[in-house]
Amino acid sequence: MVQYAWLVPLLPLVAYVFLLFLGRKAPEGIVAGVSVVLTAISFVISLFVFQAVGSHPNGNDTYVFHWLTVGSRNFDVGFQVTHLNALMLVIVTLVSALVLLFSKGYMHRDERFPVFYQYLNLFVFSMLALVLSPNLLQLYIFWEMVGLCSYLLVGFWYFKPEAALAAKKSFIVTRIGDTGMFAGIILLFLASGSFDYSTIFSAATAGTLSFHGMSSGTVATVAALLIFMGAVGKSAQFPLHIWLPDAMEGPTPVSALIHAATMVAAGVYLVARAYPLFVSAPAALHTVAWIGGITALLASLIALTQRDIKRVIAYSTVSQLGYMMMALGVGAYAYGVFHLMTHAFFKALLFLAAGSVIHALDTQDLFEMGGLRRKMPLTTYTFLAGALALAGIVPFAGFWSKDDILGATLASGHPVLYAFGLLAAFCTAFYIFRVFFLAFTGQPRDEAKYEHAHEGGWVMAVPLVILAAFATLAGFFNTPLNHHGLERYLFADYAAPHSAAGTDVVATIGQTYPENIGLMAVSVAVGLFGILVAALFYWRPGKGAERAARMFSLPYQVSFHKFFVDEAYEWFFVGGGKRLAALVRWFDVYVLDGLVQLLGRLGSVGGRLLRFSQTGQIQTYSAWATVGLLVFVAIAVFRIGGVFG
Amino acid sequence: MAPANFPIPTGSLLALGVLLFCIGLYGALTKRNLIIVLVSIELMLNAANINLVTFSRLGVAPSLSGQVFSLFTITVAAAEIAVGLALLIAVFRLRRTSEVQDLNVHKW
Amino acid sequence: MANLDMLHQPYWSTMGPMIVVAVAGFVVMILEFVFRRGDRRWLAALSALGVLVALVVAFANWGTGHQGLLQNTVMLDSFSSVFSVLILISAFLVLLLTLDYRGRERLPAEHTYLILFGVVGALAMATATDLVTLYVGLELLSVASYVLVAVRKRSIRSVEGGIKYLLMGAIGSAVLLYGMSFIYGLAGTTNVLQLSTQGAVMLSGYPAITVIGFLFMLIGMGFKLSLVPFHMWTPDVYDGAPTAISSFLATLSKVAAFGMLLRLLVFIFNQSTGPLFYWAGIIAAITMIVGNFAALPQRNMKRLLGFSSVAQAGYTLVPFALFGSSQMNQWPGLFDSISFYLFAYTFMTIGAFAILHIVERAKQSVESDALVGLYRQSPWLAVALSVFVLSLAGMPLTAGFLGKFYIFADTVHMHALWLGIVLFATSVVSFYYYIGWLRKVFQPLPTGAAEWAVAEVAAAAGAPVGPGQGPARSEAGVAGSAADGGSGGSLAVSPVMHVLIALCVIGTLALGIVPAILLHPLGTLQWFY
Repeated sequence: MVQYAWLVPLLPLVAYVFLLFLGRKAPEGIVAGVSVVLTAISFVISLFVFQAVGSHPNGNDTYVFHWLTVGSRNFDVGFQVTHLNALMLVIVTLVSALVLLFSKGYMHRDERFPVFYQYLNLFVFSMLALVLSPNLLQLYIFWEMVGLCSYLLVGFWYFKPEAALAAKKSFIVTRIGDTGMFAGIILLFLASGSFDYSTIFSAATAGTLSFHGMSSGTVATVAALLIFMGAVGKSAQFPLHIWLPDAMEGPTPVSALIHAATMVAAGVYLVARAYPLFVSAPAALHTVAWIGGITALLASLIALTQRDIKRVIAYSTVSQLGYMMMALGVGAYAYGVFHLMTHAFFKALLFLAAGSVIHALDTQDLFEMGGLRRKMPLTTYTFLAGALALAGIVPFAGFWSKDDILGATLASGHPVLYAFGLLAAFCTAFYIFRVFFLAFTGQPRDEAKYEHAHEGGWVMAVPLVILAAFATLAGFFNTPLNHHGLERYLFADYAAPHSAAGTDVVATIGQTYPENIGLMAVSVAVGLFGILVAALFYWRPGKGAERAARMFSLPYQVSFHKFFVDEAYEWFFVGGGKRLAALVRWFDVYVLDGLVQLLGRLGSVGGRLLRFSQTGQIQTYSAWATVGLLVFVAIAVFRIGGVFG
Repeated sequence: MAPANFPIPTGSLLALGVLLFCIGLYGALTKRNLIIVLVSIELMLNAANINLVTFSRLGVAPSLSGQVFSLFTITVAAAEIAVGLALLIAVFRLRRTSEVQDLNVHKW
Repeated sequence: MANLDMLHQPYWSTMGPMIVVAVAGFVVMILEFVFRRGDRRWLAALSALGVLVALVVAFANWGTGHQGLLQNTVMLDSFSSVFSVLILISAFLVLLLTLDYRGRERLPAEHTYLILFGVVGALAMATATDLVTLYVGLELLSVASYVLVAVRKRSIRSVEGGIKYLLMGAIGSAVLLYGMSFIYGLAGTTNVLQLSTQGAVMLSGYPAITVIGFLFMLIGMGFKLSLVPFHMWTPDVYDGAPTAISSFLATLSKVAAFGMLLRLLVFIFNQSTGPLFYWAGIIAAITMIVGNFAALPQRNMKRLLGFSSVAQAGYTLVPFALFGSSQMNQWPGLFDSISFYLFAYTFMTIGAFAILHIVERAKQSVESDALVGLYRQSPWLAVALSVFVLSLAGMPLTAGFLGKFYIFADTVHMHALWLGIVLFATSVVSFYYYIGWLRKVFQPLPTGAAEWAVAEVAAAAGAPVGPGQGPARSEAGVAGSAADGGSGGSLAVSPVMHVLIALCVIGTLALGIVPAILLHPLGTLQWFY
């Protein structure tokens, strides 16, 4: 079965080509039908591949073909199926199929409906091909292609100037990271003589990377950091996270597929894929952990005060990707990937549910929503499932993965990062339930919009229900109840006797962390506390005190809690939190954004100066040429010394 | 290097070439009239011809091909200038001017 | 050398392409004198046929070892084969493009044989191994180009472009010739093969004069190649010339100039590249930077392609500069990189100019705003244009990416990483302005498609009233159908243009996806002897 894995990316490509031939006037039913069916078949094949890989542990099957020769070096193309890749295939095809189905309802009557599907199919193909790449060069090619698709899709509604700007920004900011990544790939190529993962890993773990007299460890560290730059850009990690919230200008299904479940996770995937390299470069691994932790905390702080429902979820995505990076950085390989999986499900769900709301109300402002529970029960409860998963409430998917990460962070000796993670977990529970209460409970704030709210029909309902089921249950893939099935599955990549990685690396990756019931209780408590605070302030605002009173029966407790929570909230969130959020936001807007803008500005100023040197006067042109000639000759003569030599 | 009975030293002839080249370049950069500019460019080509002829008699390894080369150069330069004059006439018909400064349709 | 020997030399196998093209040129010239009336586009078709025959001959000569002719003034070797094939391919594509000039905007028929004679000059630049022959070839190409730029003699833009090109070109020739005269003076011969044994002697004996000679030759060719700071004529001339001629200048004449540059400098100074080719690296870096940044604020697409071609010349000059920092056994790889990039460059540039020409005719404008709505009008053209500009920018899966990648890899291998970094960084800059085009291409027309249809009708209405015009033919029909199409009216694209664009797209993509089809034959060649 594994040898047929190439069919998985091929089918979306077939769909893309088919839609290309159908043209721009094709009926919506056919366009969506073909895309969904082909992607669904891909999903089924992925399942078989997943199963087949699992059944024989040595199954890192690589199939390559000779592509081209530069000098004496050969470059191959092909595909490689590892356990990690097989899992990614399943995730990507499943979420893609559901999002493609959902888009049928969401993009209904958009005049460029077929084009939207073309782009989406092209994206799915690129993403799957990226996952299957057997070497870094091929990965880089598809890495750029998913970036291009993201650009096209974010700017899909190009007539909105914000969308066009956001598309450009996302492309340029991620390219900053890509530049580093490309340099890293080239460095690895020079140091190891190959782009292949296996060759590079064995060289890295055996310490035989060499480049201009640098030690193997140094090369590995520099290369890992450079490659991590690419991951930082793609996965929107601090300080390159600024593009992701803006990318929400794209249609919501795009946000769900590309900017929550798949493309942004490619950075995490890359670090996981190159894990042996990172393990042989401990400094790089530390950087990954810290960048991840900082991102998780900062993004969750920013999310607290956003008014736009999609931006809240976008910052949430940034924050959750930070968790994954942190997990990889502290050595919890399987947990990072596990969280990637659960996050893909519940975040896609949250985005699609938000999409359903936006579709119904035609607004993204939380303070124009409210009371939707009565009009859109299905959306409400599926969103609730996603929110509980995100908040990490037992037994929803996010609980298992996030808890594993937090536990492993503490167990591996990173108390500060653990504190970051815990604080972020609190904020996460708070902001997502803030969204939930504002949008779905209470009274409608905008009657006119509320009036025409409705559910989006079965094409939008089915993906929500399926994803809600996954958001609820996906955590059980890796619990003590099934003896950590996913961990064992993923470790099989490195358990094989002929694993490319050395024994140290395998030991690091294979390390497991025992459950700690105490820590679990702490994080659930933190999550519940976040929800509680959100409930007090956003569930029927003004009646927060009464609710608290009923919950804690004793009158003095009522007043105490009201006072305490109110004041604490006033002081901590409205005051400090808001200020902190504003500070981070300010840093974003003025420093990071400013830097990007400055670079662009410098370029255009330089261009304009050069432009004004084109005076149209031929003698000016020849004067410049003469100056050039004289300068060159003068320097040459000066260097040689003496004209008649 | 020069044959004993040859009255002019090589360096002087090369200096003449340099001088001609510079005068030509100066003219091409500063003269306002297109015809003078074309003449100046002709001077630059002639500087090269002087070099070629000088070297064919007084070079490191004298040979006849330098003089042959200069014959070709003169021919080619004539063709170039003929085209130049033709274009000049075309411009004059359209713009009633032969000033270099007036050629400024394309810019920025 | 007995005179009778001259008759028995293998002219055909050595100079075959040149002879075919020259004969075709004379035949077309005579036919042009004979048939003075009507639409004479068949002359261009005939010329294209001649070029095609020459291409067959050139392919037949590919890889047949090396052979000198006429006391080694002309040489058949790998180098001349590759460049002849490339020159003839670009000539064929350019002639196809000129076939599309019809109706009111047609070109004077003289352009066909001028192009052919220019091609003869270009072929001479690629095959000659004598300073005199190289110089005459260069001038044949240049003089033909000056006239071609100004071929619309009633258009001030065209004529002015011609004069500017002539003045800059002539100064460049003078500089080149002056440099050649020093090299001749130090070696006493004009034959490149003989000079190649003396390069090192010259440099050690007369370093200053040799360096000056080298620099003057490099800079003289720099005028033709539009290297910075000798590039400033480029946008003006491309803007003034008819689009087909701009593509001729951008591809064919640059390819030939590169061939001559390599033949002159690499062959003559092969033993002393180290201290000399350093200069080319500096020029390459300046050229890449200035070319790309100057293109940033440019709205006129032809001028932008002009700056783009400046930048592309910079990229191609990078491997040339690397001759200085590499071992001789690495040189074939550099030749491969240069040839590959030039092939890629030819396809993508001619393709881009062809689409520009279609858009220019439909909208009577070369501002980039004219691209708005192209995807709506013709998805095929829009996709093709995307392929070309993405390739020019260096997007993976296109020829432009691989070409740049090979060059980049060369810089890494040959310890000139700084050039590679400049290449990479500036090509990122180039994404910026090319993406600007793409955004316009995929934008719909703000006021509906009426504008296109109107332009079409106007063009067709002009056709019958034009002086010396035959009966109005297909244009009217095409315009009519466009007008009938109403809001969805499409661009009038003749079958020839479809073929041309398809060829360019295939070339760009094929080289980008399976570069082995070109690299393999290049790899089997023997560059030196």
